[in-house]
Amino acid sequence: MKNLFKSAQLFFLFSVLFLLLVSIGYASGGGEDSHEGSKWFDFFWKTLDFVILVGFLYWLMAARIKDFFVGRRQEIKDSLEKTVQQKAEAESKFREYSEKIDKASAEIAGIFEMIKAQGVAEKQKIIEDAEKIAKKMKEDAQMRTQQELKKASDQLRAEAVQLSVEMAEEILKRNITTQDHEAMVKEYMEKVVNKN
Amino acid sequence: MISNISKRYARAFFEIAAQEKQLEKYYNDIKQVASIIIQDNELRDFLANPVFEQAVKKNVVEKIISKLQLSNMTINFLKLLVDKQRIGVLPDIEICYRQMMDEALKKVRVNLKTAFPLSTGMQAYISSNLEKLTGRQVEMTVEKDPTLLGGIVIGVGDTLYDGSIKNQLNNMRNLLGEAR
Repeated sequence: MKNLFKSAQLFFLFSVLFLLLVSIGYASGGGEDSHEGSKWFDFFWKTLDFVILVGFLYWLMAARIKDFFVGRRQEIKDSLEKTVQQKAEAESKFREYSEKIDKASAEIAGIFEMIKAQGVAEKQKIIEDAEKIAKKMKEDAQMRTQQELKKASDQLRAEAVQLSVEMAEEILKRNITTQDHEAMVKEYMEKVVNKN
Repeated sequence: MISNISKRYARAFFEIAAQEKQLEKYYNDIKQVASIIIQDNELRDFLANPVFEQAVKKNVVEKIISKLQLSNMTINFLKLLVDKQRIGVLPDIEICYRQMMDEALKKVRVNLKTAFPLSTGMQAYISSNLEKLTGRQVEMTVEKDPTLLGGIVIGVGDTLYDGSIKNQLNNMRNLLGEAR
């Protein structure tokens, strides 16, 4: 149907062209009778050709030009609407991502606070542990010092006692006599008998 | 540790001696033989060794007995111990017998150690005090021990009375050492 319409258009176009050529030929050949009259006639034909051409062109192109401009407007309108929509979408996306960023920022801030709190707690714990260890070390050192002091004191005392006893032993060995011995035995025997 | 076997033999011999009223005589007899066995290690090992025949052991014991002046009862008792293969426990039998005899005669044996020699008077003094203390007749053995430095140590049965300077110095050492 469309092809048929195109063929008809072509036929009509060629017919108009033929008519134009014919009218031009006729117009150019009619100047012999009267020079003034032929000019008006030529003008008439030329005007007619022009009008026909314009009418033909209008008939041929008007719909397309109209379509072109109307389509263009619609296209621009669509494009504008699409742009507005895209803008709205972009704004929506922007808000969404902005919210997400805000949320992420809040989360990061929360994590940061948590890490900070943990760090503080850990620091506190380390300090407390260190203080405990230091206290224990101090106590151990004090205890060890006391033990060493006691040990040294005991050793000194033992040495002093040993020396005293040895000296007493030597003095007794040198000075004790048989009479002293017998007196000592007598005294001891009395003590044993009285006690038992 | 004295075995029950030694105690049974000692009791049997002690009862015979008590019947014959020869407690001290028989004690002195077995003491002589026991001291020979104690002092001679080879003889003690020989009598205790089961490898040697009883006849040989009996022969040796008889030779020893013949050199001592022992009562017949004691000789028979010693031969019985050889036959029963118990001659090796004679020193234990002697100890048990002595304990029973001391109990029967109300005697107590005292071992006295002294740093200086004691005069007879002092020994008598100690003996009389110990008799007062124990309520028994005291049979005292005196031994010199210069390491005591001074004083005496008296052993009455399982009880020890230490009146030596050595002991006093030790007490002093402990007291001063422990004092804080």
